[in-house]
Amino acid sequence: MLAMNYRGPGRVRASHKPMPEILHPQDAIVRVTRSCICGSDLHLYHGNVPDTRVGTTFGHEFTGVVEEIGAEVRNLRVGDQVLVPFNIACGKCIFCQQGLFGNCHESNPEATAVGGIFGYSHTAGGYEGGQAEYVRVPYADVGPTVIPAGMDLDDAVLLTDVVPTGYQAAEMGGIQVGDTVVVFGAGPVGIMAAKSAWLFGAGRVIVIDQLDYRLEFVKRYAQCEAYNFRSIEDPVLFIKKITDHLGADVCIDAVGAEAAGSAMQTITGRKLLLQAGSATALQWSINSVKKGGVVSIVGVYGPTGNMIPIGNVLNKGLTIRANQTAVKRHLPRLIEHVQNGVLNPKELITHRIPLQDIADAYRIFSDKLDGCIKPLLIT
Amino acid sequence: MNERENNEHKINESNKKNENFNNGQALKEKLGAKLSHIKGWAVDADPKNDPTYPMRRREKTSSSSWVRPPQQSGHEHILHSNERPDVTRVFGTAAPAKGLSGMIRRCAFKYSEGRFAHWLLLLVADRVNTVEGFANDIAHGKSCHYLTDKGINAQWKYDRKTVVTKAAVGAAVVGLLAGICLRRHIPNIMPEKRHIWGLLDKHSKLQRFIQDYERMMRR
Repeated sequence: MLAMNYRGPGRVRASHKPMPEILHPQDAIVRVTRSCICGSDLHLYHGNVPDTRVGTTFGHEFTGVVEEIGAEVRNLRVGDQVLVPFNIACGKCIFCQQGLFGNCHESNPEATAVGGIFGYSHTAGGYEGGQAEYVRVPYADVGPTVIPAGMDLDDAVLLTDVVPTGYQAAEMGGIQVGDTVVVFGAGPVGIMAAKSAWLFGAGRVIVIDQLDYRLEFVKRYAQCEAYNFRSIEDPVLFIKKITDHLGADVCIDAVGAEAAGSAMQTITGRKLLLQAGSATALQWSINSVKKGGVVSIVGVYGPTGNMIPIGNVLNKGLTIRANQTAVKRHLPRLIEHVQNGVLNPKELITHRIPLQDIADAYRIFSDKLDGCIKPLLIT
Repeated sequence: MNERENNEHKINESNKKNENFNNGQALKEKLGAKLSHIKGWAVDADPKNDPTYPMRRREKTSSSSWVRPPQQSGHEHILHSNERPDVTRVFGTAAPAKGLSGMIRRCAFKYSEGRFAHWLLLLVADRVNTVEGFANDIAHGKSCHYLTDKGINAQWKYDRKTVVTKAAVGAAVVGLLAGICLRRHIPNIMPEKRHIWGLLDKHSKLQRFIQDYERMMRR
């Protein structure tokens, strides 16, 4: 079968790999119908996530058709059209029982801090990802969800990560009616976080990024204010000025380890790897939020450590909330929102690229070429 | 605080909550009218949003408090964090650790996730693995994929300027290195350029250092 093949930092190709097999009685084999490249895949692509081995296949956002099931799978049938959450979760451990499907204790032997994730390095369990024609799906009774009749596959594939992650970012912000919410990052997750902030009752939503075409998109799509930090020079000062010098009630870091905007963070975090990525967006979030406010983190960072103003967290009495998204917990509500037209995720998709051109797809997404917001891979 | 005061306190607290709730309701109605153009505005507003949500269940639990799924076979060869007692019941088999990079990875897993050495060794292993992968490509005649693997086609199509800049910088660096390496041969190849190389030699500390070194060795 054809699959994406990682060859080292900045290099990927499509190549033929053996078909996946059932390795556990609760496995399923899914034929992929849609898959996406996620912003967090770029951390792997750039070689910033430890234990990313040559020859692995990335991809944790995909839909497909069930081709084969293991002996203990009860909830799926061969031929079902499913969307597969990016988390691999057993559904039984204490964390899954609390709805923390991103923190499953039975899916990732290599690290205890994070649960298993499809195609996200051996640090996240060493699973093959969905940027392929077929993929093995462990714990098939827990994660995969049958796509409701009539739902567009393009909407369904974005329900595997982008939409729930943006939604959880807003949820973790504990947004109260009338709150001012600042979202750092106008990538797909940031756009969804801005859109979701309104659903929780925000009174004002502001998005900060450096790419004008994305800011234009988010302004229209999420009906919010959008500013380019390159033109406002000091984003923290700017936010203070437009919020009565108090700061925002909630700040959301929807960027993570690849943030631009600070030479110091870029050099130490992205170039020299002396910290677990560039924490510029997080630094701005902490400094821009009101005293007693909430910082919600969904941007992905590495496992070591980052330079952030933790003293300000203490002095301002901030609440920091963060987690890998528990996709399964949000799905019922989000499917309802998509079906009711409250959310229209497929508008984010700007590029449809065949799987065999995967190297070009990564380059376009990574370098933000051709007005790219979200590339979809066609198998 | 006696019982009566305690009751009064409870009533006051309750009233405060109701007041906040009513204020919230009023604000919701006011903003609802203003933001009616945003479909679904405030439909998920929840005043009880718990900062630790969804970690509300705090009953005492242990790793033996759930029925573990059956074990996937082949777990004996899987590296696992030393912060857990055994391999999880399922695991990925994308790229088993092997070669020199595999040895480094095995060494990394002797350290816990909290140790910098664990992650540093894994990053080193990744870079070694990249070289191993490239060597494997050469062995299988796939080294010519290097530029296409980097997405050069897309970059050429949408960002030609960067490709040209990178190529120019690359050529300049290679040219400079070649010039240094072939410094003694180039004047013979291009005698008319001798004065240029002579000028370079005159100002090059490296050249002088090499010449001194060679002279010393001849002695």
